[in-house]
Amino acid sequence: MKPRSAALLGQAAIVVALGLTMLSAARDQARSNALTSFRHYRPDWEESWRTPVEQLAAVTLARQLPHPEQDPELVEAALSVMRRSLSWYMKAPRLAQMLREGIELRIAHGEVNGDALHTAFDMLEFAESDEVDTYRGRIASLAGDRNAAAAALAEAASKLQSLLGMPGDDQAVARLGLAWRDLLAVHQGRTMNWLARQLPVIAAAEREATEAMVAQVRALLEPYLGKAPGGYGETLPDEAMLAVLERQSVDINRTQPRRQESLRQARLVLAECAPHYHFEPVIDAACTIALRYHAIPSGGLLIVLSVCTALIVGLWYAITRLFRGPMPVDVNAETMENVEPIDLDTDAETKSRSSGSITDIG
Amino acid sequence: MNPFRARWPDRAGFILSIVGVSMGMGVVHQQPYAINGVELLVWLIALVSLVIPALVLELAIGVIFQGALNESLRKSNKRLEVIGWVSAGVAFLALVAAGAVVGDLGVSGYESLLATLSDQPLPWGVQPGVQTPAHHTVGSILVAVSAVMAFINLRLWRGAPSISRTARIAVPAGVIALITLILALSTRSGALDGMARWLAPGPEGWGSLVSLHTWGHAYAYALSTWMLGLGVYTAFGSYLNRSSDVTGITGVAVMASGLCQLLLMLAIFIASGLPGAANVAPSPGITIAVVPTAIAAVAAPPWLRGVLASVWFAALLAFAMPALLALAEAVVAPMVDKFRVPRERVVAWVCLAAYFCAALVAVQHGHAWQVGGDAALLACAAVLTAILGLSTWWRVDVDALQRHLNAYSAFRVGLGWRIFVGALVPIGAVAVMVDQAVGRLAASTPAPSTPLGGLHVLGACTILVGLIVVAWVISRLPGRGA
Repeated sequence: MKPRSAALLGQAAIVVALGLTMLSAARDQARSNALTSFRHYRPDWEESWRTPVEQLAAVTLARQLPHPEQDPELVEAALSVMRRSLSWYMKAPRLAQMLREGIELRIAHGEVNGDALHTAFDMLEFAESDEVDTYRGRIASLAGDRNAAAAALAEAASKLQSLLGMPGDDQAVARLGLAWRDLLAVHQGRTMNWLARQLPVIAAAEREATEAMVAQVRALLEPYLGKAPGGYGETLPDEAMLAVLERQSVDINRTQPRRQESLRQARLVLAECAPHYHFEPVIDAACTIALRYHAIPSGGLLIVLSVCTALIVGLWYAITRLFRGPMPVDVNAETMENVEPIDLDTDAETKSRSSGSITDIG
Repeated sequence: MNPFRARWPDRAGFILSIVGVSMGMGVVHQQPYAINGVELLVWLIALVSLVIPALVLELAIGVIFQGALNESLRKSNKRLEVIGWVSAGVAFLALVAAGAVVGDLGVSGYESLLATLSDQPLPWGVQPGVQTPAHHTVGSILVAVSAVMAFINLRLWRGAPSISRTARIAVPAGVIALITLILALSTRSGALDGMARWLAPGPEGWGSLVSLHTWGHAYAYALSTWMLGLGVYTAFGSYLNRSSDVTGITGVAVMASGLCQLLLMLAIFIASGLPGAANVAPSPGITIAVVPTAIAAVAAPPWLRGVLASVWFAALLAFAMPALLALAEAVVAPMVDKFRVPRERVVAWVCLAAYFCAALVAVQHGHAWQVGGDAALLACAAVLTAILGLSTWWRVDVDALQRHLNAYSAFRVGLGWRIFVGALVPIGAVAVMVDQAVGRLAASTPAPSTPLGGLHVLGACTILVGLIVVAWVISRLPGRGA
């Protein structure tokens, strides 16, 4: 290939890149325009305004409904236009049919991750399909039979409830954490999904586990909060309250280091298995402050000192050796002075060390 | 010695340029290098066992053969030239990704400055739902990306001396800005907590020291922040005299970079303990998420928060600039060396092409593309580093390299270096690719309705195959420097 052809190819590549940029920007702008139109749509607009937006919504839905999870925001906005349009009752069965076909197709192709069908199912509900309950059951069944794991979780939860604030509650928390993780884990290649978690047996077990863990967290937090009034948890934390919590947590963490570790474990399990559970603001603030480190752990101090020492000593050693210059050369050894330099096939010539120029910086 | 080849004006500028590359790539990847004490230890080991041997090899190839990676490999063995061109292609992709990220950082810095001047709250972390300064309008990002590319265009015309001058100003300025920010934030409530969390051995304790995942993480960060295998350091080395002490310079540069990276980590983790900071998780966006959100929630007048945020983004931009120049140099040098075309023209074309591609990337929604893009670049860097290491046994005369290094260095490299370069570095790089890059690539979430958002394994492989074909075609062209 000649250099001229290569230059032409390069220019063509740049033109393609420019085209892609414009195409991407245009698609982005088109999506943004469509979203704006859908959001401002009003059914009481005159027909000449409504029709183009409804047509755009219909086209968007026809394109996106087989895979609504690719752009749920746009699909939902388009569906909301269709729902408010006068032709909704005529078009609803067709839209629901398209969504059902999409779900069926994915289940037939061996989809085992029910959560991947979340958006499609939400849209089916949104489209007011009659078969929502049927699909709820079918998607829930994708997670497989988890009744045994749910029973184990419920048992672990009741065990923890009976041991709250007593010796051995740490083990009960650990057991509950294991049982909960097992319930949510992949079983025989099937993943847990949001609809399976809503099944009565599983939902009840998870509710019991959440209550037990919340009670455990509150029990562990009691010394930090002190003799707080009953309504303490309902208020927002103010600066003075935070300062008191900070002071108390320093004392308690020093005298009862295991309490902080237990609290950390309990919060970890809750955050992992029930991420949507939120404590009241004061409890949340107390928990955050109680879990704070008020001194760097000795292991951490050791690590940072070792790393800093290694880097500083390494830097100092490298600098001193660098400034000292090359090691003495053994005249009998094979070096660049008495050995033919590497056949470089280059126009560069090797400089002798003794004749270093002012730009010789190495 | 080719009298027309640009030279580094001094050793300090060269070392600071290398420091700037590693710091800048860390900023571009927007991830801390280690998120707990055990990872910090393993990261240090990765610096010594992966970065130093591979860096010595890359620099030595450039110093000895006095050419960019493609020309150096061609002089060693004609069949290897294509590897140099693949590296240049990957460096171009890295430049595109870095340009987009730095454009984003520039807009955030501008917003911080506006907040300072107008005494208004920072435009992130205050409204519910607006967590990080990661979403800007397309227009502002395009302006910022064009400014970044214009800067590269202007600074790269003169090659190594300009890179050196930029690094001599930018890296110390970045370090000073970082230290200022650390001092300002370390007195706040929660700062000690953030530091202690960072230095604690981690949730699995010291047991994670024997976990392959921990080692994979550390090596992946080392590999991606140093951008080994892309020909950056070979191009840098080609502007050194052949009698330079490559081993000594590498030692100084790596240790100095390590200390600077520690400072960056310290700033991030001090901020992570402050109330209002976004959660620390090992994912792209942490650099741009944690510190700005923490600053936005600091109990201080709005103008002071604006100043702190401006200092943070100034530090990030200062570190990013040498990295951008280095990546652009890794693309420009092969073309200049092979075709002997005027450097200014090549720089202008590369910047123009990079601008269009970076604009294409930057207008994508959010940062979803970055997970896949980062992983793809990491995979390429790992493969290229492995190939370069293996080629020392196969095609490159490693005895001659070793003799040359030892003749001019205060340090002796011996069998240990050869084992590291030829065996352990390739094994480590391939392990990183399998454990980290492919895993992250497969797990990358496709963003909706964007051509690059859904980048996955197949897309990355297609790009790589295209790159290899283009590299092969270019390597077949007759060069004027041959």
